[in-house]
Amino acid sequence: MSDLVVHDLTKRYGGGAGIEAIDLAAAPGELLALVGPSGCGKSTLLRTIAGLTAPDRGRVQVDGRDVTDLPPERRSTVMLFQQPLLFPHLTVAGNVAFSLRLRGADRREAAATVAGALRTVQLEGLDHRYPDQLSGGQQQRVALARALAAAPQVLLLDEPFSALDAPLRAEMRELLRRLQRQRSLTMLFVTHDQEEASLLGDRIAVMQAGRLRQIGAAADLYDRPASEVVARFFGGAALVPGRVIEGQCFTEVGPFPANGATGGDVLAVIRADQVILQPWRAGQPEARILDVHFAGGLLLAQVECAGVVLQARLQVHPGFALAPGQPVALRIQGPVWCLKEEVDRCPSPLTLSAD
Amino acid sequence: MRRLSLLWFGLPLVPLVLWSVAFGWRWPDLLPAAWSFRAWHYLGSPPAGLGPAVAESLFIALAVTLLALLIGVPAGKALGTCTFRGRRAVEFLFYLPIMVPGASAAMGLQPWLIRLGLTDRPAGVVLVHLIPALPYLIRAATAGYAALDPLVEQQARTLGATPAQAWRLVVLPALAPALAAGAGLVFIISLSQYLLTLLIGGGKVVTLPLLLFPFISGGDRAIGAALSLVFTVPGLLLFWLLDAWLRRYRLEVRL
Repeated sequence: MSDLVVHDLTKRYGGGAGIEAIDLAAAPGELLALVGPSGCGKSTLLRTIAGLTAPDRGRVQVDGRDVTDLPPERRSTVMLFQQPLLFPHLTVAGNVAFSLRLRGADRREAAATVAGALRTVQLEGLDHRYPDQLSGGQQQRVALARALAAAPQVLLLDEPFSALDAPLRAEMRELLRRLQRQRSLTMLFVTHDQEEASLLGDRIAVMQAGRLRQIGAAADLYDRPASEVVARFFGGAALVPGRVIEGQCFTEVGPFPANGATGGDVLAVIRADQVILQPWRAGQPEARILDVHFAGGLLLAQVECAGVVLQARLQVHPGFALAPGQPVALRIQGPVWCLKEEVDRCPSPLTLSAD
Repeated sequence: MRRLSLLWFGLPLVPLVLWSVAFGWRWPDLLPAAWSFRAWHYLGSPPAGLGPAVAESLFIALAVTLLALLIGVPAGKALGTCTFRGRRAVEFLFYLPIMVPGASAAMGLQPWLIRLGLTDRPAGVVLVHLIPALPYLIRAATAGYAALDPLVEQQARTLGATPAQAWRLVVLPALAPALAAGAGLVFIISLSQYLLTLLIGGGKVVTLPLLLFPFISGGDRAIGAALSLVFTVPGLLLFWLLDAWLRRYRLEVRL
């Protein structure tokens, strides 16, 4: 059974950012990352699940209970926003105890829950501070503790770390992963950053233009993207037009074994680790290095061949000289994932880049 | 800072205190030639009517403040959080009474109030006091709502608060400084109305300014001064009450 089931959820807006017929299910204790460019409707989806926005159509179930027509306070979903939104007139303890106070929990029980939640986010001893006496990272942790104290069935997170700087963000992700292991809390985590989605999500759902494009483990989306949108969004791959005939894909950069599409016009998703560079010898087809840079123990090279630009990943010491302008020989190591060319060609990469 | 503000507030009151206990104070004497508690004795006696006037003033000012809050907070919410067609026109209408003298409005309203049987009664006076007072509360509430992130209320809701709880526990504390400032102004404005009270109250609704005016214009400076001192008390009391209320939310009065 699933903790969260969304069926045919639709909300249309005049200016976009709506959602269209979303079907989604999250297993108990699963962290589902919802990724997509800004304005693709992922926040709308979250708000609709939380009950802050009424859908035009569709149902939302939490723990087997249909909550579509319930107000936000009766859904056992708690939402965590981009800003901490702490209540400034309450202390840290008062903020964390907010939901318990509403529920009429007795003092001792509330104090224990608050202490537990603050310990989880590593903020013991700050109970009596006020929000304006905390740093941005601490405030977001208090917000997380406040959400945990409410003991929701499903925790909805709307880019909660995007306002923090990189080291803090990494720390918060770590905290969230640990928390998920300890409390096995079902979470829906929205982000526009595919790297964050890959780091956090048990599964990743890719949204674009209000629709759910693909859902699966990070490796699935990386190895077998279902559409050009997903392939582009997960980056690191070049999309090269070609034609598949009997398991071989023929492109401008040469033939290679194809996977996925079995025939016809395709887009080959050539990943950087599938591009092999070798020293060039006379008579071979020629490729040219455009740019080379270090990337964490590897070399990333941009190569141009017959008008197509590819990314290549190499060992730091490939055994031959690599410099911009230098000719190299290029081989594609198959099988390469090939996508049937879509009739409605997807939007340009520009509209997909996260802002 | 505290001492300075006490001085700032207290200094203008010194001549009033002196006048209220002076028995003849002529130029060029620095201090009154003789002292007397005549004025205070008079105010303490039933014929002066001080007790009923204070009670009437407080009742009317409180009623005006309460009504202004009931009307002004929703209006402020609409103006501070929504964008709609004709918003500027509505805003202009709300603030019009600041530009048009309340007395002219009251003159126009008087026949209607007579027909409705609201003249010569506190109810009618409360209504006309709203004319000059309400715009200030709407203005304050608008500013309060405009500064409030609507997500704060939504955050409270997803944490389990009903709309009423979210308002009481989260929105009200956030609006408190603005509402306190607006309500304080409304109270003081109602308290100091003379002409409107006289016009609509018909002299039958006797508030502090109505009591005060004859003594100032009639020349009994001692009684006038003593009354003026009494007149400052409700304002101070209000300030103290508002301060106590805001302290609950760790805030200070910003008038």
